[in-house]
Amino acid sequence: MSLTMSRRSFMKAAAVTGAVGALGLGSAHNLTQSDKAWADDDVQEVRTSCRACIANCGVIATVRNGRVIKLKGDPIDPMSKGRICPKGLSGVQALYHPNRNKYPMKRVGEKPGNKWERISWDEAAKTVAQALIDMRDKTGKHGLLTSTGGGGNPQFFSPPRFRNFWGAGNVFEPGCAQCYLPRNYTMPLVNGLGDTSIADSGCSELYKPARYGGITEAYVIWGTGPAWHSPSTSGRCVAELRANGCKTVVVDPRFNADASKADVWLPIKPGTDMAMMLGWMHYIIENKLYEKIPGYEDFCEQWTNLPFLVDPRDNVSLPPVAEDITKDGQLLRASEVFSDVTAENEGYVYFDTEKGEVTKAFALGPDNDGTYHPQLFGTVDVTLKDGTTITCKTAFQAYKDRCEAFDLDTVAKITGCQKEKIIEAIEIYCSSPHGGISLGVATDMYPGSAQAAIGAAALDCMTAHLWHPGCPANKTGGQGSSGLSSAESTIFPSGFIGETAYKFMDDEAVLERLGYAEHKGLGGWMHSHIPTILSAILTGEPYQPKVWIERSGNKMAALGNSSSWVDAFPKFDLIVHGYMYPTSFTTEAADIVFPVCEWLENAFAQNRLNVNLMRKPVTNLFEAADEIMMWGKIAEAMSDPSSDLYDANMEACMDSEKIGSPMVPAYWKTINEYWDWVAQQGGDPSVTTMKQAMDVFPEEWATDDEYWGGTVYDGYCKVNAGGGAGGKKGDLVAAAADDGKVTYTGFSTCASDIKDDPKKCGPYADTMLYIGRHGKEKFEMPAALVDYNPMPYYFEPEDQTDFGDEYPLRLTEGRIPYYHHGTLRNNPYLRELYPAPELWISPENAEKYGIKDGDWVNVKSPRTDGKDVFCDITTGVDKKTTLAKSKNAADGPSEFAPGEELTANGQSIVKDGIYGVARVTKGIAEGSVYMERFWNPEFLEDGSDGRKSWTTENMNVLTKNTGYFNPEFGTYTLRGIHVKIEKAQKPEGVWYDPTDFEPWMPEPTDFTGGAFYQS
Amino acid sequence: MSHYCLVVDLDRCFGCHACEVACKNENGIALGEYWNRVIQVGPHGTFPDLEQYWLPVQCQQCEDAPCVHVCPTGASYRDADGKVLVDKEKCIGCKYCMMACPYGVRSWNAAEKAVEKCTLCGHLTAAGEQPACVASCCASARFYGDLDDPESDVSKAIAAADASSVHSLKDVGNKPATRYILSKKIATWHDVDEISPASDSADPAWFAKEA
Repeated sequence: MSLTMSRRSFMKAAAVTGAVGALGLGSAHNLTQSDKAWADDDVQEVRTSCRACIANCGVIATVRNGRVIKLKGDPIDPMSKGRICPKGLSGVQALYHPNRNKYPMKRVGEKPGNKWERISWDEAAKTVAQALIDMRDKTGKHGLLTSTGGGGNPQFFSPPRFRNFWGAGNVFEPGCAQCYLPRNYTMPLVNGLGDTSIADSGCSELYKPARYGGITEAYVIWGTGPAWHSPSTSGRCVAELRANGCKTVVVDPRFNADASKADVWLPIKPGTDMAMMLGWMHYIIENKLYEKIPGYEDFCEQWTNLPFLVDPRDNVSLPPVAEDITKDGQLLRASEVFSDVTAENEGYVYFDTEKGEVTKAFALGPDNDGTYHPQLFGTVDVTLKDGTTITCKTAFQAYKDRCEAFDLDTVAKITGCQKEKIIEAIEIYCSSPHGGISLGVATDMYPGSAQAAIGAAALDCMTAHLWHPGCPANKTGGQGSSGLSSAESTIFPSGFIGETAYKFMDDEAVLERLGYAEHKGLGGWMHSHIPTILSAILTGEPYQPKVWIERSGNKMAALGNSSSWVDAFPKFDLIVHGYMYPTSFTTEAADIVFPVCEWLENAFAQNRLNVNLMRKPVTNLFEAADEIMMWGKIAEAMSDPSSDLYDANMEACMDSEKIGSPMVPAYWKTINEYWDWVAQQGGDPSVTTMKQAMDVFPEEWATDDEYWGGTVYDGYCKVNAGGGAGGKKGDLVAAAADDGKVTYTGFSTCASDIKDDPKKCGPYADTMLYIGRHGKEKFEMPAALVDYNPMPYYFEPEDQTDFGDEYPLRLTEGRIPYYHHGTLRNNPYLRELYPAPELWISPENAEKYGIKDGDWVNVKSPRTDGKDVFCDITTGVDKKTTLAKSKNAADGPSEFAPGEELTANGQSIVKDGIYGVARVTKGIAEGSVYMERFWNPEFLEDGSDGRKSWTTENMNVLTKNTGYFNPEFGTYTLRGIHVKIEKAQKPEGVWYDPTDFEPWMPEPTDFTGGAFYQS
Repeated sequence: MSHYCLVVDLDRCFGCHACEVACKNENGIALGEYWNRVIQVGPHGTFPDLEQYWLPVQCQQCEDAPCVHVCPTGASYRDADGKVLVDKEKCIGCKYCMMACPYGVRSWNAAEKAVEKCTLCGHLTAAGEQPACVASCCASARFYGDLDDPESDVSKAIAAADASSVHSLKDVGNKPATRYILSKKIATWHDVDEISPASDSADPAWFAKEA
């Protein structure tokens, strides 16, 4: 809402601006000429939405004479309720940072290096276009690589969108398989509802006001730190829960803020979460807690797939790290048992204890309620329709066998937690159905990512923590009655939601995505496997990536074992970086730089429960532009049929009619057109322009009564419970047989060959196993060499096994309230607060290594010491599928049998290890250490050695992109790596004292509209 | 007489430092200078049975304020509402008040060569807004108001807490007004004896230290 200042509010604002003037915000350091004639003291409040992290809190920006002078929280946001955290508050300093990328630039001089020449947007776009066309004509379209991630308000789907339009190539982000995708993809296939990541603005149920019966009573915060990853949204929410009497369990190596307030803290050893989960299951099964959840005693029997029979003949292939686990494979298909069951009415089977016979599983409904009496445990002899008899376990028995060795004495030993505390935690968890587990990013950051996601979701299934009031997995929300709707302006790629009329990409191009056929979970976000990409770059096999368009945070700080990438840069014809300011990646790798916007310059429609926020272009500086213009202008440069740079796909992607899908808009030629499109996505049909949106948003699209009051609970046992959580079928699931039966909504988690959906949640992840063998594309994919196991399993971190003696300390990462991913290390107020990465170490270990609190320490890992070098994993793979021919070295190098070392040179750059400041604290277990990601933008200042910006304090040169990748997502190892440390001196050249950061204090400039603005 | 001050619920405070950053932005405080800072207390105890809390410290609005007593020029004064404030025009930079303050919450403004401290964001409260630290507080742990007004946020916060959970920084006769709410369930209250001014601190990482 724009505000015409009354005298009263003017005085208020004048007082504010007077105070802020001391910062120098009022100074006249205009880097850009502005012809805007401002009335004296034109003060407005613009209600927008933050993007300093992924939480998107409502924010009110005070703008004086076109310059943003103050940020505060917007009380209309039902998730942040007017609160704002350090990252959000630092938006003004980020916006007016003196080192903003102001214009497109091209490199002049050596790489690495930091010498640039200003060029026009047109020249920059044409340079990229030329490289792409040359590549296409010489070696094919698949040489394109696009990437994002690492923070900095990226458009998440922009890279796959451009790649899909282009027609081939690869996409990655350092997060993805190591951050959120494993939970985001896996958990809904298990619990039938959704993932439980509170950091990714899920868990809306937890925000329900008490007056609408908000009732979370037992909340397990597992590997996530709401108070510190998003203080104003999830931190605030969990503080509210605690104040309302909710019991909490925190599973985290660190004694963080939420741990310090918890009823039980389990200081888990990094990398042992799956063992802990198997231990919880062991205890729950042994003590029959699954049938003691108050009010939901028969949930497990009636609503999960745990009674279904497992086919003992399935010879599942096991992961190399866990070849001694139980060999339970796919669930038995009904067509194997019953002659009247075919592919058309395929189903699962169970043993009915009343009928005394094996029965095809069916969906419950009013007509058959009470006729389902499944056997939960044990084995059943099943006579198949060919006459043979097999002995099948129930899925729950398979689970019981899988976790048999994980008694709590054993689990205590593996995880470093006390047995009594573990029991206390489980008892709290099972004390109420109103609660559940929020699984955080921690487990996504090592190769047990899929296993932990299955484990946490399966635990919630076994204990009925689904779809009741208070469960994190719920999807909440009734409909509004005002004609408005919940909205977001995510720009989808072609092929992501429905087909386009124009065919941009063929099946072959999908199949040849690097590492995709082996790690099919990556398809969830249309990404490729990072180590397979790196190997392809370095070996040219199975094909050579040649043009890289990267748009986001510092890749050198975000990629695992990041020094292994140095040797990759010279292999490209052209590397592009789009960001708000230079990073280590810019100086190491980029040839062309595009200036993109800070969040205060961007537009985005953002839903927050029953309110739609609008991120608005509060101001626009220099020649910066929303990243959509970077991708769009590159495409546009190839869209003219009369040009040498013509490409038919690129012409089509500029033309909405050709694309032919309302979900996939064409690129925009001016930023104004794009802003208007965003405004139209805001959920209010009356809004067609950003000009209108500036006044209309934020806007409540449903009242509290409609939203919270309209949420359907226990909707799985309701008929036609439309609009409730989980009622919507995923695209995996075929419609139930159309035989006129009325059924309850249930859960939809079965594999896509199952046509008679029994509507159970699926703790036994048969669906994951099926995806590994068939994929989830429109075409049948070849099976992965290693099956996607239907149950969690535990394996020791490879660094423990391979290097544990020499590198005795196990390192984890974890969020802090000041930075998001690689962002804001150049923000003066935040660096003042947290000038260098802390290394948390126990008093026992500190004494052992002669380290005192506040000492600088040197940290090394097998990666810095040349003992674990990234190797060839692609010269032995099939060119079409990029699958390994086998797991044997004889068939050539693959991820199962890596070949020669490829990156010893790059990794030698970090042979001296990295530095941090020791924090000696009881808040971490003996043997564990903690360090968060860091880099030092001060080394990008004139006269500095830019390379030091990522080699000095960057823990991601310690992490591991080698060895074992899990089958489902190809996740590599960012947590649970091993290190050694010793006392050191403060490294030369780092900024540490508060006044060191003075050169980064803001230099405000005037609104220019940015690039492609039509005034 | 009114007693305006801040009350902080340490049961809720989770150490995000938003109050510090909000204070610096709102009041244009230079790098290395602080009106408000959050000190971590703990962890105490035996692993893994630990206690820890965060203690945001700013001017405690003492009833018998030593800073006002020692100021030779009247620059440190009490206004009509009873708030302890600094008139920078009158400050001669002798820093007696910084030495007298038991809580180290007075900050040396090197550019203006004057002592400063928390003003309770009088420019905001005069316009009906909350102080910046209170408005931003992500844990809803900070309250502003008049202790003598039972309807104020501070009075209500204290009234809602168990009497045994209401604490103040060590009182050496100066009668600090600010109250901290910390219940045994979260942690045992520790007297923090001496808090030295951060702007004079040799160690910029003071914030990370156990008190």
